[in-house]
Amino acid sequence: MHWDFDKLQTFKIIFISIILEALPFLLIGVLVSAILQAFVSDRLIGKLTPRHPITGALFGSLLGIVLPLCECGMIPIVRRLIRKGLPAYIGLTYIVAGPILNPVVVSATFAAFRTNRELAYSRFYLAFLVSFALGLLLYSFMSKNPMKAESHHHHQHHRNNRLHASVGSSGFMHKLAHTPGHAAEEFFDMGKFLLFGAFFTALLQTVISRQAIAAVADHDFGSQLFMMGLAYLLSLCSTSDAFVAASFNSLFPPTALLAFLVFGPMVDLKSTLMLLSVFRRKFVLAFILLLFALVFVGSFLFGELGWV
Amino acid sequence: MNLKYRLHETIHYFLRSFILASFALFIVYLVRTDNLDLYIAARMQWLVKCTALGMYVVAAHQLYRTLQALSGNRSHARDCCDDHTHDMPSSWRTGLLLYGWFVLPLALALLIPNGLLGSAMAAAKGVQFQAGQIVMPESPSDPFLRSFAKYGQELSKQDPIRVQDDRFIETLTALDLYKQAFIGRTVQIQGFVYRERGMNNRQFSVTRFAMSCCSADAYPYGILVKDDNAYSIEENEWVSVTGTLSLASYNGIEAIQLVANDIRYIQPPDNPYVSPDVYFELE
Repeated sequence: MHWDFDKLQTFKIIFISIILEALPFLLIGVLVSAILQAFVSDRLIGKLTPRHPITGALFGSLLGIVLPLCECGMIPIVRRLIRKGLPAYIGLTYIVAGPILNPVVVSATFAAFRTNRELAYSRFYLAFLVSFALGLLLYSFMSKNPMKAESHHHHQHHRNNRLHASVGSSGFMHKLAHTPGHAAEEFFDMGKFLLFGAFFTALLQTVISRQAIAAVADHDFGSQLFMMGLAYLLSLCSTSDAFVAASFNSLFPPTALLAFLVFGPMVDLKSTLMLLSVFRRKFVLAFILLLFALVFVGSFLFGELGWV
Repeated sequence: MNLKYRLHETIHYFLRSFILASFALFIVYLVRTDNLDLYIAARMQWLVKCTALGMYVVAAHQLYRTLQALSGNRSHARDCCDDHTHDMPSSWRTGLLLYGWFVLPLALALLIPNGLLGSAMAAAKGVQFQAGQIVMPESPSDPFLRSFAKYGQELSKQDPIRVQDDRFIETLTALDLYKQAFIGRTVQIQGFVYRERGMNNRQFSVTRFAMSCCSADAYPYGILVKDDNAYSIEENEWVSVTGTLSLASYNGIEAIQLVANDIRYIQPPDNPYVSPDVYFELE
């Protein structure tokens, strides 16, 4: 591979473009997280959380309908909610389902697949099934807290906050005045992983060609594997990936497109780096492998059953 | 509170404020110089502009913290949480690394002159020469296909048929779907020159990137052009081509091809990208 000025410029455009597109969602995410921190008590979160794992997994899968965000914005919010007592399996189910099962993505997908509505419907059915299954699996098999150990400071911070939430010493305006401070902290905390992810995504998009990956994945399940790998590496936003998938119509079978449309929004390079900032490394790896298996088998079955 | 700690805190708050404000200013600069189009699709731009505003607010807050830290007035901060600096890098080296990541995109933006996505990216992504494939119709009575048929009829009334930017993909799709009906018609199109292995020295393609959110999801659509002097036309230059529509066998597909009557170099348009028209079937 040679690296010339054209490639450098391409890299620059994609790198900055991904950052500019993700910044609004990151900012929304850290602001909502800061507001949750200041105004929503742990008790309220506890009260609203479903007790039964089935309702819990359902709740996580469908939360995106009322809180439509993509992963750049969701990860800070979910981290905050888990720290405030939301069971981790529900938070993780939301991270997986939210970027697909939300009204913005539904409308974008139907716009891109206007003549092939089965594929659009399958995307949402499979996404729901995968996230619901994931929720139940995480509930059953996740033995310990998947989050990274909180630093000593965080513990202090947390306790202190709980303390004055209960005392109620700080008024509304006072809490509001502190929101940008919390937001700034989290912006830098999560932002570096976003930048890291954007950097590698842009690098891969510039360097690796479609033909190169296609040559690697050249056997029976090749097209499915290829499209899942591509979805992971491209790290597209779920609102725009349907249009990209549509441009692949002629080249890949519907099962492969379905795998692309379901796997990509659930986890990709950019979000992996953001997940690593919150969750333990081993857990993130297991989580991605599990998702991969669920989507791979799921899209294969949808194909065999003639649903796509 | 010791002086060293105060200095440490002041510098961190200042750097944060500076970086946040720089990002906001960078967005404003892109808007003012009409360069935001290079990075973000029109329908997403309002969100990016709002972000600039939000980042200014947070930057101002961090500047206020800087001044507080500088004057050693911590009473206000203490009021809320015991330690606001818990996420701050503890050593100079980790600090440099952290803020370095945030400065990197801004530095790249300043140092590398503005350019457009071109052949390098088109080659990596693979140009779609059969725009009709995005439709994948199930039956001829499909309403979406019907709207293409209607659009095709509208196009055939034009002479020459102009491939406009706002309907670039839809026009190529209609031309490809009903190519038999359009053979021999004159078509005019603008885009950049792209070449790849498999084309002969009398061929190139006029190509545009379709973008729906940001340039990470940009995908190239193109039309083949045949001309005796094709080899002399510079890659990545923007051209306007007028030619007669014909068919060519290319890489095992039957693609539409323009036999050029007129090729002229043009300035790239203000917005080099085209977007899928989401309201297309609703008319």
